[in-house]
Amino acid sequence: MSEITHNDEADLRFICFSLGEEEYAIPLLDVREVIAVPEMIHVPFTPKHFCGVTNIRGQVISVLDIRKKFHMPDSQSSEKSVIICEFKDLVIGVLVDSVNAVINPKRSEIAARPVIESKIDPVFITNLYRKGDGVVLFLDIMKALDLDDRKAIDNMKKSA
Amino acid sequence: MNDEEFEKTLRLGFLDEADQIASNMEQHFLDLSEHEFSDDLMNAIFRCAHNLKGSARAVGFSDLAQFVHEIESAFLFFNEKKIVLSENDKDAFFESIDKIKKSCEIYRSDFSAAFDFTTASKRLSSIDRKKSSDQSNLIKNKETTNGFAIFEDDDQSVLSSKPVAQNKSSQDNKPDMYIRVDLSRVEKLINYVGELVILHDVLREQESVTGNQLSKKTFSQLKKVTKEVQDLSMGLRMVPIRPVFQKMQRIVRDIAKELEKDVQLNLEGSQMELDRAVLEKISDPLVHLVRNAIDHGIEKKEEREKKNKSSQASITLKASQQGGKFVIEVVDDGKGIDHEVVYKAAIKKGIINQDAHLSIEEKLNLIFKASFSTKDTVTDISGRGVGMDVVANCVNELSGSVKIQTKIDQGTTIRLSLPQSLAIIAGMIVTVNGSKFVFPITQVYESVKIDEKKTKITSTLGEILLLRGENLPLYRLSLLLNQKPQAELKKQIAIVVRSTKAYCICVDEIVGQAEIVVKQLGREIQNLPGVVGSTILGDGNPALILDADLLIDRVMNHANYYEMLRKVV
Repeated sequence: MSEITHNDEADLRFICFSLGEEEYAIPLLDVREVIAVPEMIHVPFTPKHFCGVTNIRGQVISVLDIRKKFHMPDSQSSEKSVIICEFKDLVIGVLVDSVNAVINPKRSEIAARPVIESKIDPVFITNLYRKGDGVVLFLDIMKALDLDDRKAIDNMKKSA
Repeated sequence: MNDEEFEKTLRLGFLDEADQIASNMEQHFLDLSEHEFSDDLMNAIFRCAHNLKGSARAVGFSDLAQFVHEIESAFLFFNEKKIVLSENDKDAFFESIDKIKKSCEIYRSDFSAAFDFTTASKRLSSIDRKKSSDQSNLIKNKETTNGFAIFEDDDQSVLSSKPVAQNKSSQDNKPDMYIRVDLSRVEKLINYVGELVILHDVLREQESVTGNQLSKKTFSQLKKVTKEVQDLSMGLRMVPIRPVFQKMQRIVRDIAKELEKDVQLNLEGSQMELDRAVLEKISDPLVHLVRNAIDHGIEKKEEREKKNKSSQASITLKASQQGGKFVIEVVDDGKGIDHEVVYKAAIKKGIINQDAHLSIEEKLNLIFKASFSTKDTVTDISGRGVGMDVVANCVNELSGSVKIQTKIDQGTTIRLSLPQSLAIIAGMIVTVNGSKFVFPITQVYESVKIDEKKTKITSTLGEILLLRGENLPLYRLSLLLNQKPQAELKKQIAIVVRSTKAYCICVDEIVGQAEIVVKQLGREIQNLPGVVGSTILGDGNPALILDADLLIDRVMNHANYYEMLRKVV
């Protein structure tokens, strides 16, 4: 999704979290829950940013470190959280620094992604939103996974 | 729900029902004796056809309804006159039932599909016309046409003219006692029950610290109920093997006829239940086994008579439960398999080396090799060969086993031993570098403490463990999993695997054995090499389920393992 296509105002809610100094947001409707960092079991043959699997009420769910994924430096932040995202055929945990707020921007406040320098491959960023002095980047987590993780694992299988 | 959705649900419901009814009809036809007229069965068939026609009309599948009507009419002729159906007549009805099933399949993807049943209808009408001319000449054609006319116009008259049929329906309508439930809902329920069991364990720990007498009592009750709920919910996935066995009746009948052999199929234990997922996978291999038994195992009539065997051959399908395993046996009384012939054919085909020394069992097992099943060998040897590798693959996939017992001129028994459930398996929990992993217990032949003096490292073959005079390759689990290597072999345990090949896998510790609930991994980490699933252990943490053979296969074509091993030693 290259721009926000939801037409219902209620769908325009996003959950904001920080990665280092930067603030990101994902659609609230994709979020099942936010939990403290659970105990995780390492999975062999997975890329570095794959933290492992955890038991969430009887379901085995993978947790990914989005910071490592974006090659950002390790943070000192102790209050990390895991956002459990639920997509059509995929439930996945995303490790973030801290979950900040739920925002409900007006459509007019959401801008398209400008061509700017970023630490991240900008294709993951769908839109951006000005919040006071700062800016919140809207992230497409599925896109990030499809572009990178699956490929990484597929490549691993090939070399294996 | 809007009208369109409602109609869709209705139609899909009908298609499920139609499949069921068609299968029932088929079964009744199979049960019909060639010699005696059975009022009960004939009425049951008639009811099936009648219900099907009514439902098809109700949901707007008029082509199908019309066709079923023709079946009904043709059938009515036999029923009215109390004429016993010949095998040939039955064939015509079987063909029609196949047509019904086929059209249901097509309707499933396209509700507006149109069908042309003309050929099948002609075939049907030809049998009753022929029959009617065979019958007493008194009232032949006139009577039948009249008969049709009545029922064509007024279905109600059929029902009212058959009060017996209605009284019986309470017995025959067993399917009404069931409800259809979406499998995903059952799986969700099982998930939550699994969580309940884990919470239960946590509570037990807490209870032992803080508990008073009162809570102890409640707790022990809770324990009982939890266990009941767990057993019940696991049982929801279990289905009887009957439908698959019944399908075989039809297959035996068709193949035996084609090959001009006289075969009686006996079914034992068709009420036995197994996991729906296992049942689905085992259906095709069973067809192969039965087909092979008739084609290659069972002799022609004349040959059987020469051998002083009864001219009618028998094939028995037996389902039973043996030590936590679901066992299916295909028993025939044919000519058996000559292991020497198999052995020679395998050498000729280049499957094994000329000077390979094999036990009788190993020689027989050669029939499961993929390349063994070529036309050439099938005609050359007395044994079986077609598609047996399909059977072997499927059994492997389900981590079961297959065994052949055979005696020349007395027959062959092929025994499939399968897990009763894919959802719960017995697992051996091991640790390596502090992480826990699970191997299916079916893969573990034995486990031994490693005696350092009995391991050798060679640069060409890797590590070798000498076990009771046998040299087995030894692999370190840490290296198999791309982890940092286990340092010393001193206190390590070797798990011995004897599948298609024998080898050992070295682990740090064996934690124990447990019944584990298998959980699929998300698609982001499916297909990791050697990882077949995950589970949640008693401590509440997930663990990965490993397949030893797959892990080793990966190493076999991978020089990396030996490089890593060299770095360690």
